[in-house]
Amino acid sequence: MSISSIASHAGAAELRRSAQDHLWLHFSQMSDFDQRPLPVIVSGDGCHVTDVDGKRYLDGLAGLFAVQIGYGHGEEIGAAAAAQMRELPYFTNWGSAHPRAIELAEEVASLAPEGFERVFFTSGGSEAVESAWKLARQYHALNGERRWKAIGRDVAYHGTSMGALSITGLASIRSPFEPLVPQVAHVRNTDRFRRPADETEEQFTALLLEDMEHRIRSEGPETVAMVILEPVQNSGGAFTPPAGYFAGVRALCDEYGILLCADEVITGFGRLGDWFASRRYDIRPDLITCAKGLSSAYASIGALLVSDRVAAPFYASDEMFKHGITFGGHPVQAAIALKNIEIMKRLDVVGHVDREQDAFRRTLEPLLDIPIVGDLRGTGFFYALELVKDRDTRQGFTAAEGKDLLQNVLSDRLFDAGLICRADGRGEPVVQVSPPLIADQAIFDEMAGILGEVLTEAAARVR
Amino acid sequence: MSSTIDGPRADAHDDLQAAAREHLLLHFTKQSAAYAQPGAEPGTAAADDLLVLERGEGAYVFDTTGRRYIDALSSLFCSQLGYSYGEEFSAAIASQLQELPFNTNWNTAHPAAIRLAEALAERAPGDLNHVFFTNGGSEAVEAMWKMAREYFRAIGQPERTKAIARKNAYHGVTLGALSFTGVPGFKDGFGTPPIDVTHVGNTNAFREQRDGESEAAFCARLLDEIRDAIAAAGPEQVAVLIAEPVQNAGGCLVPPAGYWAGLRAICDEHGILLVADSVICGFGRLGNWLGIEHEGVVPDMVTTAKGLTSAYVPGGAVFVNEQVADGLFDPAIVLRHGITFGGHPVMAAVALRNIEIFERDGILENVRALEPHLRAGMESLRDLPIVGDVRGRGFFWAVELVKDAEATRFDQSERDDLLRGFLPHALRRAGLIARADDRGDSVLQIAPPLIADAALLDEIVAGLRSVLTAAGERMGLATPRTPADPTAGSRPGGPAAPARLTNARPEGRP
Repeated sequence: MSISSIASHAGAAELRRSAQDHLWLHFSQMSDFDQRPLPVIVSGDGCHVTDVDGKRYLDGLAGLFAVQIGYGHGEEIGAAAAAQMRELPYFTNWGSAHPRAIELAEEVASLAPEGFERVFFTSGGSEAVESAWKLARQYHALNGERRWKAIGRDVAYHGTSMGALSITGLASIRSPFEPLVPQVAHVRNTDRFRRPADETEEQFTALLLEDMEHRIRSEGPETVAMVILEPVQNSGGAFTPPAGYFAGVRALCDEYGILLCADEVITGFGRLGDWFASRRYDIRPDLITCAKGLSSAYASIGALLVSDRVAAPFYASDEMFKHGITFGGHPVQAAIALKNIEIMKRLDVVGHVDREQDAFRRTLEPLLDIPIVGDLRGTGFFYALELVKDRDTRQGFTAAEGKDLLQNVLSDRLFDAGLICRADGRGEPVVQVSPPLIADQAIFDEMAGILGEVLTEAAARVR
Repeated sequence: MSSTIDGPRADAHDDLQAAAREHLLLHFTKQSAAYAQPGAEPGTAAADDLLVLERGEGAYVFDTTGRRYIDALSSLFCSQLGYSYGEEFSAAIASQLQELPFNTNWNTAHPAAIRLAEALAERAPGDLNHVFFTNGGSEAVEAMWKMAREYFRAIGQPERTKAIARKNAYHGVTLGALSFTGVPGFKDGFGTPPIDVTHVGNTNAFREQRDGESEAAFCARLLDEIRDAIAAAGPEQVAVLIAEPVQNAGGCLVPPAGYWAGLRAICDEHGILLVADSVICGFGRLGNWLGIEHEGVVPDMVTTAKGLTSAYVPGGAVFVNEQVADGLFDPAIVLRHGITFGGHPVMAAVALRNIEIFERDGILENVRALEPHLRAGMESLRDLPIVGDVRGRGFFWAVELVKDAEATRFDQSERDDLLRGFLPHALRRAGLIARADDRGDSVLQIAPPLIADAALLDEIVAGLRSVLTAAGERMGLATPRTPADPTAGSRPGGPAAPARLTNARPEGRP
């Protein structure tokens, strides 16, 4: 039998044993699968996937915020990939180029906010963030300034390679690998759930901006290269910005000569009902990172978008951006991304999210009646439910209680009930939902139904 | 777009040049110099436009004017199979894309990633039985480092936070991987590296082996330097020693006999993990799977990418041995690392088919069978006065360029002219893609697709000869060496010459 006939219909047990012996899983406790069977996903269609035992799941997380068009476009994307593989399966973007990378750069620039014409391709989000930081440092150097620091936000996730991890604000995944890149500062995120009830949105915005300015000044403004923020922060659970926040951040960056990077790895390509959330929130960044939705995860590709102002010195001088990734702009990945964008346009996926986001929220809102659901927040097709011990006082669970609730109750029960979503305890315990962008009311209902059932059960158990 | 299909598509060509300039940021490239300069004299380097490749076939690629090039670099050491397996790979991914176009390896898995991990483990030497997937080489190095850190935390040695790597070695560009990279020009300007890495001497025997020093003595001296570096760092604080089996940057630096056995012994003595970075050397480049088997040493971890998929899609992998896996499979341990696209089903389908093609079409065997032929061809270039050294292994070779028989180095302005002006232009005119590089000393490198036959290898060597002859003339080195010249090395087909000059060099590396 040929080794590449993957669907050799070996038994589920044999596949799981082989995985245990050879395949190292990401962010997973490997010994865990001695106790419970490893989920092995074998096929997908629309918003659903099926495991090796034939059980179907609603993918309420879109394969980690990525599969915008769902799982049913393999044939069309395969045809695009095949045509490219026959013509030119590979070449670099190092000192040379090829038509698909050029066309994709042009296409992405056409979807980007005004003033973004230049695109640098990577293999994913972490690499896009690394590229952003290195480009920011070199940009300042070309302008005769030595600025190297980055400012990120508490609890924010920006990737796992050592540079991106340094910007990530999650102590639990940072501390094992310290020392990291020195001199990254973290400022308050836009979590407003436990702010005083009488604090206005304007006051909250002012507090956040004051915190950021204080941090910039205490670091020494002339040493700060970049402020990096997600338009809506994922980690911690879909923190949306208060009114006036991004205008204020932009003003601070302008005042202190700092580049503003919008990390749109999750929010880009339709998740919030626009191609880029930077446009929706009028962020006016200097750099934009993206990945995931760029190809709907049919290919591993990411990108750094560079504003014309920031790109200018790299074109004017005899300098080069001293950075490169062998697989960046890969022709087959570029062909897949181009086809994905074509499909998204044809199906008006972005318009669909914009039109249906209110219906999605309305479908989730009744979950707030469950005693342990303290908050529902988010926008577009990107929501989080924060779980609390006492809804009235907003008292949270202790770390041990939260861990038990998420790991021993919710994760397994939601999965058993046929819903893939994220029960996350990196900040306060939250359940995150972020379905494929083709989801309709029937999918919203299915998702809310399972969440309601399992969260009600969990609430009874906690009490 | 042009209506003609077969002829040069001048308007498409011009459109792509304009669109690339307007929208595509190139990697490691001077953006302003990448395109034809306005008013440049036709036929000069300044008149060269951006090389935009639109088609590949076998070992050849074709640009948008229809011009053909031998890709003697396998598009940065990746395209092991050349460019004509698209039909077969697209069939392999078509069913995967229809079945399951994407799934992570985060707490779940899918059959393609599992099968690939199994197939790789079966072919890996020793007990390198566990595989962690990434999107490429930089990410593989990052993952390796974080696994090493977690391993040492798991076994109660959290103080191991330092590493040993080698001067001028390239291990990637993300800020963790860049800490291991020892190319100063790639690190300058990007701040303090997060990892405390000591860079030790590499194995450039041509420059570093002393007069009268035997290979064994040279090897012992290199190993002593590493021992000293470990002692200085504190042996109980060093987590990892990372080295490429044949170092790329600096020009195919082959280790002396016994070097890897020595590394293994040093690491064992101090409880340090030995890592082979086989991103370039793996998957057939040296005639074997992981680029290290010929050394008779099994590292604790091996990083790979490039040839894993023959670059038909991006992919990378870290191989991990049982000892490290045992430490990390403890119930209390979660590896706090992950990459969304790592182990992508389409990558896994391609990599599995790649292994199948390697075995069916005898790719490793081809490299092993033709290595002596390529070696002889490359050695034959030693009669050119600009060629100071010829070195390499498998399908991975470099010539080091020198000013004279005393191996004098070209100065900065000469290198700018030769390596960034003359050679790229001359290679392009000769229809040859190869790499002129001076991250260490000045070299010209080749790494042909592993499907190349003897005739193609001969064509590459002949192309190098013509380009290097012209380069020598340009640099004022017109007189060919006579066979009696002691620096001339071996003749075509003769035994391999010693890898270093035998006459005195007035000064070594500072």
